[in-house]
Amino acid sequence: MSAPPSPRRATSPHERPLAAWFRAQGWTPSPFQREVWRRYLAGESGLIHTPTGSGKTLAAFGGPLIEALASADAGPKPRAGRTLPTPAAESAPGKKPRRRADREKALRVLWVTPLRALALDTTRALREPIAALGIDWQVAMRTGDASARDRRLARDGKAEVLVITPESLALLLTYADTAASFATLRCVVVDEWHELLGNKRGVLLQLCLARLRALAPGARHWGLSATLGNLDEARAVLLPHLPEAGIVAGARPRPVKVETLIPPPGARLPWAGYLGLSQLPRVVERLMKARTSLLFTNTRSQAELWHQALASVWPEGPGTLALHHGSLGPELRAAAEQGLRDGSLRCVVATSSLDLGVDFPAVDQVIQIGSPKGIARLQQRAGRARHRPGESGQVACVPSHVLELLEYAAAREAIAAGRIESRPPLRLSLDVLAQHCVTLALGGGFDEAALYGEVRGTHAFAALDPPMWHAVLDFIVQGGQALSSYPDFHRVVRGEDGIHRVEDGRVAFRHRLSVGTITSDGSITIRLLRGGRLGSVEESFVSRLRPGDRFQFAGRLLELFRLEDMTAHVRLAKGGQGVVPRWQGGRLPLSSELGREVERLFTDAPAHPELRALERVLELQAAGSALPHPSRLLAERIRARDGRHLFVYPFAGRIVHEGLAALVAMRWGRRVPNSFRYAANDYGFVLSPAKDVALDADALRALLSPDHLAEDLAESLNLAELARRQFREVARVAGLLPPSLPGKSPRSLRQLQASSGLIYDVLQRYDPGHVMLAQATREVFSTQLDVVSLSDALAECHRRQLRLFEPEGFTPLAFPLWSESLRGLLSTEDWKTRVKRAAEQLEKRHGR
Amino acid sequence: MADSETCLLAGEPMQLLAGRALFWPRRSRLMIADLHLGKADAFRSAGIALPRGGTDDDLSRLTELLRQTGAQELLVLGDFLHGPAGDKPWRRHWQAWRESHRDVAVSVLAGNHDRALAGAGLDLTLPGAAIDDAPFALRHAPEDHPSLHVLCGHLHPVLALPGLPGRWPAFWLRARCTVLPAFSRFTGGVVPALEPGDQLRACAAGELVAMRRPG
Repeated sequence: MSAPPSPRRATSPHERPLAAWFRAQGWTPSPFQREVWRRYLAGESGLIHTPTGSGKTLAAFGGPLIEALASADAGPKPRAGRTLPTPAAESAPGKKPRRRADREKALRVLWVTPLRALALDTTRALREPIAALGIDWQVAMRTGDASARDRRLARDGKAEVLVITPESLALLLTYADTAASFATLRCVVVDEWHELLGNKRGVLLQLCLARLRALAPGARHWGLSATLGNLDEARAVLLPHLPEAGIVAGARPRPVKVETLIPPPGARLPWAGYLGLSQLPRVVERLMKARTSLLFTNTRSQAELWHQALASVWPEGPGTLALHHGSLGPELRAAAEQGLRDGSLRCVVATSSLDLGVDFPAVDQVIQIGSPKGIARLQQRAGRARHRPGESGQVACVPSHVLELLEYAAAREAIAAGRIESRPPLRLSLDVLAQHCVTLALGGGFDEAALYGEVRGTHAFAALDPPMWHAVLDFIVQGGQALSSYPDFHRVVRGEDGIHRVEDGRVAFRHRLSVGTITSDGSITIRLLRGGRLGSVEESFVSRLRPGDRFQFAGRLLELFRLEDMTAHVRLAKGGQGVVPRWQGGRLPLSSELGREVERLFTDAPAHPELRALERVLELQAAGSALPHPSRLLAERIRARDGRHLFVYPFAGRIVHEGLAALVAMRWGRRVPNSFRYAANDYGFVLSPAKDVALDADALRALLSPDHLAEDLAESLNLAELARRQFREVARVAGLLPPSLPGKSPRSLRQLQASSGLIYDVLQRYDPGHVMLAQATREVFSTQLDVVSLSDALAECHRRQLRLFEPEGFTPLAFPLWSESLRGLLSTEDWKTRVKRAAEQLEKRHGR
Repeated sequence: MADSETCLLAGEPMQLLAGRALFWPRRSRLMIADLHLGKADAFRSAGIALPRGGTDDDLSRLTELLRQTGAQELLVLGDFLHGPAGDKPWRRHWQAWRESHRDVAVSVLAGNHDRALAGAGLDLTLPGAAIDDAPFALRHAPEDHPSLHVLCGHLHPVLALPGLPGRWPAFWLRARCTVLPAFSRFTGGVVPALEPGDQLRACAAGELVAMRRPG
């Protein structure tokens, strides 16, 4: 694959201007770039895996560029290898090439990017070589942030290159005319494919790509991915029709250095928590040592709080500190990115909104607050530091509680060993399929048999059987199952000709509003009374505020002035404190790969500096009960003021622990009816029975038995409650929730107010066999109650020696679980008993 | 905790019912608020798939409450309808119900959703938006009244109960005002911000659950 830069073998003469432009930039095309160009020109599709900043954009875009140069050849004769009169290296970027009126404009390249924040940079990066090579192409952006002009270009098919998010792509497919304009496509690039592989946005994209394959059968599809544990699967999901497609390895990841800001001897770290603000002085000190820093947090609330804390002690001009997260308005995000680009900012507090995207060579250091959560994630973040030739990445980790020290050491080991997480793709997300079917019904209509074949061609729906397919069609055509058709319901209509179409204008309107909402929740726009939009927060947060209340958002203290039509009008407040919004889905579980690594390090990590800082805590854990070890399963029963709790530490990841908690509670409650509060974290779970019941090691072993797992799960007691929670997303995707809009909501939507919980209850009561209830239940079974991972986890528990301790007080492992505020509830008692207990608790709490 | 509770509102003995209704024994009058007939139909015609069954269910609960209390009169404190009064399935359900309860006088106060009510021909007495019937001022939405205790709906108060999923419709008992829970099952709600002395009675699984804020 390493081709010398000679015109030998397969090198297109049209590659020369591109290579000349590379040289003018001071670059050389790398072997993997040339390999992708060659494969592209040979008509191949494939997957490229390479870190950001290694030239992946030009690897994927080079082929189409060369092709464009070649087709331009058909016009004026080239002179000595130059295809156009303007010499490549001399043409200034941005200079408008002369347009030839005789050529029909047609869409050639579709560039799909998962993040709106990336779209602008990508658009810029694609325009540069186009301008320099004098290619007569327009690049337009079509995302939620795009300008009106770009949207028009995209809709009218006036651009040859379109940068788009999966949701905007789906939206375009709702228009019959745009769908047809995709027929001229020659290339589809999916950027940051690893970000989409494991979620519903990826499923939506798979369906859209299948549509594109039908509309433009000749187009080549290329994916760009970071390194993954399951690259072959990533390729199979992207290119299900090409099992032989190539995987091209790009540059190796840059080496990264993971260090930890270990508290000085004598200083104590808290045993629980996630904010990490106790480390503020040391972080400021560290920030002042570098010119420009990126400070990553794990959630948007945490970013707001850290920005606020830093601002209160910031030794420099306030203009040198900025905030960046996904709920901020595009202007604010763009300003922070610009500050990083030109180096005018000293520090940007960011969330995963800055994990991806173009690199900022000005960034000298990266700081990670709190848990790294995953190996790939920490590596990615570290890679954002010192993105300059010959330098390695770096991240300084700041623990928010003491056990995170182990997570840093574990991540460092895993990175050094080249271990990395997989992203398992989803299957049979019928809610996404229902949405897609309505999209196609709206975008010109679909034939049932043809679409079934097309959908079955995707990885996600390869196993879609006819009953499931008909359930989805019934759902969009008649509302419910065949025999329970809902009166007056006309979302999609099957015509005389057998084609499914959307005929009702209101359905069309509402669907177009909902198409993009896979990721966003019902959100309230935050707008300054005098000034622009700051961003958005979830409705549930704002609805608790009253005019005059203060809150912290976009790095500002704001006062709510009035709330109307899904917009919160605010003004800047001076002095004082404000609450910080929380966004749903903020809590990311530790990857199970990292969890196992952590467990091992408890007893086997001589070389890591973090372990010295942990000595005292490990001693306490060992004295109170025992240290975790891969050969034993540790459990603790601890009596506290609020009752006696059972702690179990399987180190199998939070999601599995939630499932185990549900299972154990059900089995325990089957012996004696009881209600349990429970919490799970990345290390284990806690069950707190309402009625104290004795439990010895043998009894606990029986509760954790791998036998009869499937039967027990089927009767899992909180299945309905888990499914009700899961239904929120399903309902939104499947179009069972009216969209909530910023700005004045149209009259047609005002009478359609209902929460997902309410709709869940209605369906449960009147149509319990509903396809989307089944979807929610299936999703519960594929996550929390996943039979395969639970059975693995139970087998693992069974293999180990069970050690049940009864420490006097909370151990360092127990405390964070006990202090988890979000606690679920599991019960085998009847409703009357539970209502009675609720009444007693309210009585006790509020007194008489 | 029971399925009903007798209490004094403005000195008048009244019954709070866990079936989301208030009974006034002296007048033999059953009061409910926020029935929102036709809400699911509005969703269906907008292309949001909701099953039928809700209207029947709401109306049969109403039948049961009339039987349980022996009330001669039914008063709906506004939002009888959800939207237009067109020829939708809920209409037939209502007419059938009305037919089988000929001996009960049914009146409806106009609520903010009831724009279509006047011309709807639903065989109702429509006394307007307000009735003063000492010691009560009967309204759809809360308001300050100089002398009478206000009975109303509109707000859909709800309450989360410890150890139980979701939120439950509740009576909100205040010094000069009592807000009824929304009667229809297909309604959401808001958790009220309690002031000292306020109380709530949640309607959960056929029981009334009390919550008091010490005042």
